[in-house]
Amino acid sequence: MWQDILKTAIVGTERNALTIPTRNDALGDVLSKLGANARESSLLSAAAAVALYERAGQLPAKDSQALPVPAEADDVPYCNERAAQHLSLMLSGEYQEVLPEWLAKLTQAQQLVPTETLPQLLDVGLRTTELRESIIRVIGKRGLWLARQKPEWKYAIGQIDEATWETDSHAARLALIKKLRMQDPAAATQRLRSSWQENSPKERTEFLEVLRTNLSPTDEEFLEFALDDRSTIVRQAAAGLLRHLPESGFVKRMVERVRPLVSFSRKPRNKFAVEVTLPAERTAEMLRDGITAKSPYTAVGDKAWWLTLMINAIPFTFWLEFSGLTREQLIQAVRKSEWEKMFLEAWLKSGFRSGDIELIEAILQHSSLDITWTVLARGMSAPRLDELLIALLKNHQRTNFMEIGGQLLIARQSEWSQELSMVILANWEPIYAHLLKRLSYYVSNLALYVNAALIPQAMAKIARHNPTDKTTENLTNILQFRADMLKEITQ
Amino acid sequence: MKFTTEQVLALAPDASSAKAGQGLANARHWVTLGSDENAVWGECQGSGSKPYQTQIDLNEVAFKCSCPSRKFPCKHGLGLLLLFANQANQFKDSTQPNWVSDWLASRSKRAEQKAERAAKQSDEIANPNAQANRIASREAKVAAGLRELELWLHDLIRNGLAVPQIQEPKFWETPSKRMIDAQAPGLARLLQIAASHSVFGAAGYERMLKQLAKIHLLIEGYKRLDLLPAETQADIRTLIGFTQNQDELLKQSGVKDKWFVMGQRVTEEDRLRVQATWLHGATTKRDALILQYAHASQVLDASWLVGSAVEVELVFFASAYPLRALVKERGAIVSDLPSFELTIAQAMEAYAAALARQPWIERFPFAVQNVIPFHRDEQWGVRDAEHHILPIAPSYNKGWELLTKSGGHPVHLFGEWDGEVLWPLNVWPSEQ
Repeated sequence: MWQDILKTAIVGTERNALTIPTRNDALGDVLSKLGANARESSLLSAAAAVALYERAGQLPAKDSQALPVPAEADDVPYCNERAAQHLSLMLSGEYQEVLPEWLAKLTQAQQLVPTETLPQLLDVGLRTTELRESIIRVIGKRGLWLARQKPEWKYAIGQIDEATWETDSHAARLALIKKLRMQDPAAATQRLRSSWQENSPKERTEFLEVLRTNLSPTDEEFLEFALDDRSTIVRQAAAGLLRHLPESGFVKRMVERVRPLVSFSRKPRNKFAVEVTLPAERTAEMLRDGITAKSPYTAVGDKAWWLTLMINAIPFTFWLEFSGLTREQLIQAVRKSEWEKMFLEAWLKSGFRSGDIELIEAILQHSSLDITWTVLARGMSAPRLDELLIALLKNHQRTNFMEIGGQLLIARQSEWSQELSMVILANWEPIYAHLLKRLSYYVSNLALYVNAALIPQAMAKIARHNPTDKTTENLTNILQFRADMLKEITQ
Repeated sequence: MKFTTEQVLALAPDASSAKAGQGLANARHWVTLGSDENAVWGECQGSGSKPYQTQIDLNEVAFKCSCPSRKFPCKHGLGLLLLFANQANQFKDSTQPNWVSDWLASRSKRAEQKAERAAKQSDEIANPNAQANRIASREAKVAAGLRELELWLHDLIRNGLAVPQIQEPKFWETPSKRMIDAQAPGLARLLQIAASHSVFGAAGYERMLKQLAKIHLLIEGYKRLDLLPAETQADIRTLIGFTQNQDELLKQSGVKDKWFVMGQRVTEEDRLRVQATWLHGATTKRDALILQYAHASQVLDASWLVGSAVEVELVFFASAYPLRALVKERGAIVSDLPSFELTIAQAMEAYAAALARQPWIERFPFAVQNVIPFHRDEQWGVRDAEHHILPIAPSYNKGWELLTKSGGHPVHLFGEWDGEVLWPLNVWPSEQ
C-alpha cells in the first residue's frame, strides 16, 4: 500500500490519481475518512497514516547467526588509571616517541592496557610494524579476541594459519614469518621454502631480510638454495646474509677466490705492503655468489668491484692467519696504498659483524671512512653497540670518534645501558653540543633513551649546563614524562 | 562522588583540550591543591609569573579558572578534575582560600537572585493588553504562513516528487525562508530535513515523502487545534516553533527523583551546537531530555557527568509524550548504576506506545539489557538474548570501541532510536 502511495507521489497526482484502498482495520477506518476530492491532501494524509502505522508496528528483526565466541576473562591486572592516561596522551600524539618504552615496561611489569584503548593501539601496530611484538604482549585476551574480529588486526593473532596462508596478502605473510622466525627459526625457513617460487623477486628479497633475526649455520642450506635464484637482487640478499656465517661454504669460496690475488710483504724499516692482482674474469660461480658484472661507481672499475665484493665477505681473522701479521701491521700495510679504502671498509664491516670493538677502534684511529654508519649499526647487537659507543664517546676529543659516535648513537633507538648513559652524562657538554650542531633533529634522543635509572641525573645535568631554551625545555619535558610514566607502572 | 577519567574527558569541549588536560593531570604542575566536600581547587603554574587559579564546584560540577582561555572547561579545569579523580590524596588543603569561598558564595547568590527574578517576573505582566495583541498577531502570521505552505505542498504533490527542480537547494529555501518570516521556525527546520533527502535522488523519495507527510500532519493539526487535547496542542505548537515559556514552566511543581545521566550527544544544527542529555528516573522510570543550544563561541553545560546520578527536580515541557524537561532544582551528585529491564522487543513496544501519543517523535531513548554488539558485512548492530537485533547507524564511528567494551559478552546499552537505526551513547557491564 505504501508503495502505491509513494509511486503516485513521485509521478504527481496530476498524472495519476491515488486510489485509497479499503481495509477492515483501524488503519482502514482512518483511510476511509480521507476526503476523495482534495487529492493532494488525501495523499499526504494517507502517507502520514500508513508511514506511522508501519513505523509503530514494526517488529525487531530476528537473527540467529552465530556470533563470535566471547572473549575469555583476563587474569593479568590492568595498568592503573594514571598509566592509562599516559597511554591515551601518547596515542593522541603527545610524547609518542616514548610509547615503545612504555609498552616494554608494561610488559615487564606484567600489566595490560585498559580495554577502551585497544582499537587505537591495534591501529598503531598496523602502521608501525616494529611495535607489533610489544603491542601483542599488553593487549591481553580481550585484545586478541578483538584482533580476530577485524582482518587488518590479524597481525596480532600471529599463528600461521594453514587455511589462510595461501590466500593472505604478502604483508600479512611477512608479518607472520617475522613472528615465527622469533619463536621457531627453523620452522620459518621451512614455511618459506614451501611456497618460495610463488613470490615475486621483491617479495623473496623481503622474506630473506626476515632471516637476519636468529640467523644461524642451519640456515646455510636455504640460503645456498636462494643463491640459485634467477633474480640478482635475491642472490645479493642471500649473499649479504651468508657473510654473517663465517664458517659457510660461501665465505670459504670467497676466501679461495681472493687467496691468489692478494699478498702481504715486509719492507725495510719495519714497514709492510700489500700487493693486489685484479681477478681476470667473472665466472658463473661468482655470478651465483652475488657478484654483479658492472661497478656502480665510476671511480671503481668492474674488476676492482668484483674484488671488493669478495673481500667484503671475508672475516678479518682470515687475514691475520693468511699474512702472519698483527692487526696493526695489516692496517699499516694497506694504508696509503691504492687499496686502503677497500680493505679498511671491508675490515670495519667484519668488525661490526663479529662485534670486534678493538678492531673497529683501531681502524677508526687511522682513517676516516665515509660509510652509512646507521646501516652498519643495525648488524650489531645492542649490548655490543653500547660497548662500542662507550669506547668512542670516552675518546670524544678525536673528531673522528665524536662524529661516528654521534651517528651510531642516533641509530641506537631504545633504552641505553647504564654504563653508556653514565659515559654520556660524564661527557654531557661536548656530546650535547655536537648533536645540536650536527644532528639537531636527534637531540631529543638524549632524553628519550638515557637509562631510566639515571633520569634524575640527566635532568640535573640539563639544569646545570644548558641554557633554558626550547630544546632543553623539550628534553626536560620528555625526561619528566618518562619518570612519571615509569613511576605509575612500577609502583 | 567518585569521578572516572572517562566521565571527565567527556566534558572536554574538543580533543585538544582533552589532550592538554591530561597533560596537566599531574601534581607536579600544581603549586597548591585542595578540596572539601563542596569544591576542588588548585593553582597551576602556567607560563606567566602568577599561577592560574582553577576551581570546581562539585555540587553542580561548574568550572572557573583565571586563565585567559575561551575554551570551557579549560585545560586547567579538566586537568584538575582528572587529577582529583585519580589521585584525590594529593589534595591536601582542606580550608577554602578566599578566592574559592568568594566564588562559591557568588554562585549561590546568583542562583537565589535568578529564582527571585523568575518569581517576580511571573507576578507582573507588564501590559496584559499589549501582550494579548502580540500573541494574536503572531497566531495570525503563523496561520497565514501555514496556508501558503499547504498550497506549496499540494503543488509539489500534484507535480510529483520527480520534478527536477527538487534537487536544487533554492527550491526548498524559498518556503523555508517564508516559514521563518511567518514566525514558524520549526517548520523551516522540518523542511530542511526533507530537503536533505533530495541529495540521494530517487533513493531519497521515500524518506522525503514521510517527512512531507509529517509536515502535512502538523498543518492539518494546527487547523483543528481547538478540537485536540491540550497536550497534543502543545506538541503541534512546539513543532511549529512556538516556544513554551520556561519561566512559567519552572513555576510548576516538578518531578523529583534520582535521575541517572544515561548519555549525552552533541549534534550540529543550523550552525548551533545542540547538546542532548538523557536522564532516567530511578523511581519514576521516566525518561527526560535536557536540551541546550550554543553558538560557536558559547559553552555547553559541562555539569552532567555521564554514568552518574543526580537528585533533581525536573519540569517537563507540555507534550502528549513528555520527554524534554527543565531543571528546577538540583541536588547532589551520587554514584549509582541504573537498572536495565527492557529487551529489544519491549523497547520497541514502548516506542510504538510513544508514537501513538506523539507521532512526530524524532529520537527516542532506548535502554536495553544484555545486548551483544556485533559487526557483520560492514554493518554494526546489537542483539539481545531473544535474538532480536537493532541496526546501528551507518555513520556511527565508535563501533570498535563498543565491541571491545563488550568483548562478545552481553552489555547494557543506552542509545537514541530514530525509528530505523540506533545511535549508541553508553554501555554498562552486565551483571551476568
